[in-house]
Amino acid sequence: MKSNKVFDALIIGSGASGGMAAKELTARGFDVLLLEAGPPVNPARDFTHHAWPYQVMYRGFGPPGWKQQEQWMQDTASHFSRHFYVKDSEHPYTTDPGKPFMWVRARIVGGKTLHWGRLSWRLSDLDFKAASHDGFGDDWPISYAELAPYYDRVEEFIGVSGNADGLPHLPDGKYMPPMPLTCGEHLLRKGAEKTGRRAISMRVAMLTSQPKSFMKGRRKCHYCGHCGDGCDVNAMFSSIASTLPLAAATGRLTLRPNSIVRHIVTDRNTGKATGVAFIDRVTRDEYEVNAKVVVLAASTLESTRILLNSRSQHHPQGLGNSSGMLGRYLVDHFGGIGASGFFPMLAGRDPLNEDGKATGVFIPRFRNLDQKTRHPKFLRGYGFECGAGTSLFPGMARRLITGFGADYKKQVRRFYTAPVGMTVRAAMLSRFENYVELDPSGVVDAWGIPVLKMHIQYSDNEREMAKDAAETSEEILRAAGAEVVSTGGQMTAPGRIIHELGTARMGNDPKTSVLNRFNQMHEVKNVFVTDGACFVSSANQNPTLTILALTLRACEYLADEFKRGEL
Amino acid sequence: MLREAENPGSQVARLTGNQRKLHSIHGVLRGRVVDGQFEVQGQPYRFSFVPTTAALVVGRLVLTGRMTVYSPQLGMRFVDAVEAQAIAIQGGVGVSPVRRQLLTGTAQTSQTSTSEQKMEQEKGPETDLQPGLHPFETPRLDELGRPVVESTGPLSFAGVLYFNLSPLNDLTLGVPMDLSKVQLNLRLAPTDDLARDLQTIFSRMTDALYDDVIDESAAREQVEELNRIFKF
Repeated sequence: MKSNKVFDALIIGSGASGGMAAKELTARGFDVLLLEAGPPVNPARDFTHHAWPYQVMYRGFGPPGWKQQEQWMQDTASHFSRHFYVKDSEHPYTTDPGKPFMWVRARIVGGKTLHWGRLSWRLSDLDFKAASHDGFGDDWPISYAELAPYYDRVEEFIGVSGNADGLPHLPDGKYMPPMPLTCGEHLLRKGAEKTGRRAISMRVAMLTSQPKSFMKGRRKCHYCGHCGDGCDVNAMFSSIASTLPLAAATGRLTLRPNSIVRHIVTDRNTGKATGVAFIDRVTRDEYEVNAKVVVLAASTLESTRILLNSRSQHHPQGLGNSSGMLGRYLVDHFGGIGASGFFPMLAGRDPLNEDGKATGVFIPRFRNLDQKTRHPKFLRGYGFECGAGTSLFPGMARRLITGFGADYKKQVRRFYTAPVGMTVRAAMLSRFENYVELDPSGVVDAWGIPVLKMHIQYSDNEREMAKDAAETSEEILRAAGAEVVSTGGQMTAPGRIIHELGTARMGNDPKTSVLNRFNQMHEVKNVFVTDGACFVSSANQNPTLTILALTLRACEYLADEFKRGEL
Repeated sequence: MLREAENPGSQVARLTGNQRKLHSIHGVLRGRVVDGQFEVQGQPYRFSFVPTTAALVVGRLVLTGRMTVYSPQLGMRFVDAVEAQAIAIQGGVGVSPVRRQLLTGTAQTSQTSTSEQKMEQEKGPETDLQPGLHPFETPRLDELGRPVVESTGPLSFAGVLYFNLSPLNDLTLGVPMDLSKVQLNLRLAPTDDLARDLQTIFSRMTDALYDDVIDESAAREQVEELNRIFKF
């Protein structure tokens, strides 16, 4: 059975980037097929927000062993959200011994936007032109000025709450009112200022005022704090609440869930993409579908995996990989380092519902901004994500307090209102030797598709940064008047922060990059990669806002080139 | 909310028609038995693989044992002398498994390999109740006083082993799939002492065989250890 249907554009992946591409291209008149590897989502059935642990079997911890035996790498999956994540039992990947990588994946319509962290920071030229600033690596082929209008449009569309803080290295945008700080966060902010650092409200993609007219079906946040389990009022930005409904409303979107792309099909003569081959996740039937343009938005490493699996006579090392750069320069942010404690002055006060506010305070980068702030032992910088206040299942109950019985309960109640914590989000240098490849021993997934082998380790730069962050977090907590209970920690294994980036980076030189400045493959003009794979360097900011802005910009270019017959 | 077009129908071209392959099966180590389940046409098939011997073959670990499949229609079927060649690993992330003396009583030849591991082994929850940390998650610094990376170096362990199984006969095992090239994904998430011991041995084995520098003599020691355990 052979279909003659040729879509204008085929998008792989329905997360942040895929959803934005679908919205943008359908709005511009494209007939779009969107393939999503995972199942459809039905919020009425799949969102388990507002459920209390005591209302479910196993008190919310899930059946014994489920995580370790089925979803061991899905760190943020809980009993309430596990169906948003892949089963590691079906989705292998490999590493060398002693060099692990945590790969968190969401194969479902909406992707990771169903449960993402929502922090929405812009990058600045300190990031885009980092190599010019400190001499390491490569600059991005674009500047902040080029991306700023797209940041504006994305923030306006998704709805971001926050403040204009006037920091040149963390450019301001268009914000809804910020979520208020807790008492402890106010104290922490003052402490940071005493040490010469700023502490600002987190900028999050959550609606804090009345939705705008185009935000149909979305409501203001009601501070339930269950964002990671799916947001039933769509206060947080997600593909299924924002971009995909608008794309569907045009009548030009065909969404096919349960479609696992095996490879991109190319023309024998021209080497250009003609469509993709995919497998139905449920029936395991194999299909081929045709399109004039392919947009890869399957998430950083899945997109690169598809490209590496798309070998052909024209592209023997994978699609568009004659440079050998595909898979190279893998980065993640690291965390795990920080400090925690409690504010004595807040102990024993009346508790408030503070954990409904699923955001906190952020201490932006303060190292290596200029000559004055240059650190002698490392390049780039880090920020701190901080929070203070009451929370369900207070961690300090097991960490801070010993004993048992009535006295133990009394102590827990006393300190329940006082905890404070800081954890680092730090840049990782983009290095050639951190890369992914198709597993050379031939490991495949449950559908027979070759899997990735990860090669990634931190360098001395990240380790020195971690040491500095450990010392600085303690300094800030003490300056804030907190009693410090723990400091330091272990750097998170690569991947755990779920900010894996790079492996199909942008650049002006086809010999050292995979994509051009518009996310278009140098070697295959009708293939675009719009997700985190395109990043040249990681900065230390959460990447989703930048991914959305880059997608918007790439699709605008794609549409113009398409009209001019250049694709 | 979005409604998906569930079936684009003739807009895509279906290609397959031949008997489908079973590409991979997933099992968890319980004691020395690999237990798991896979689905064929919506039907669940439980399986177990019980290794009886271990060997090194061309620098790779090969386990040999009995593969048993519990078919919903045909009941239990098994094949002996199935070979499982370990081809790759996935490094584990999280709290390192508790290292302990092996049940086989051969701890003299199976001591923890580094002083750091020994320290970790000796430390119990009673002596390490540092606030804010799991008893086995003590923050560690490297020789330059910098924080270490979780689950790396001496804190590393194998989380999954991937094996290629020797060709299986679908008729013998009663599975209506092509079983000529099945990959066994063995998850090491021990909940019993024997499985913990085996995880420790497998971790040492992969350190010796599947890293950049190969140490066959260290691997042979672990093979001996495995065969001792399999004899019980």
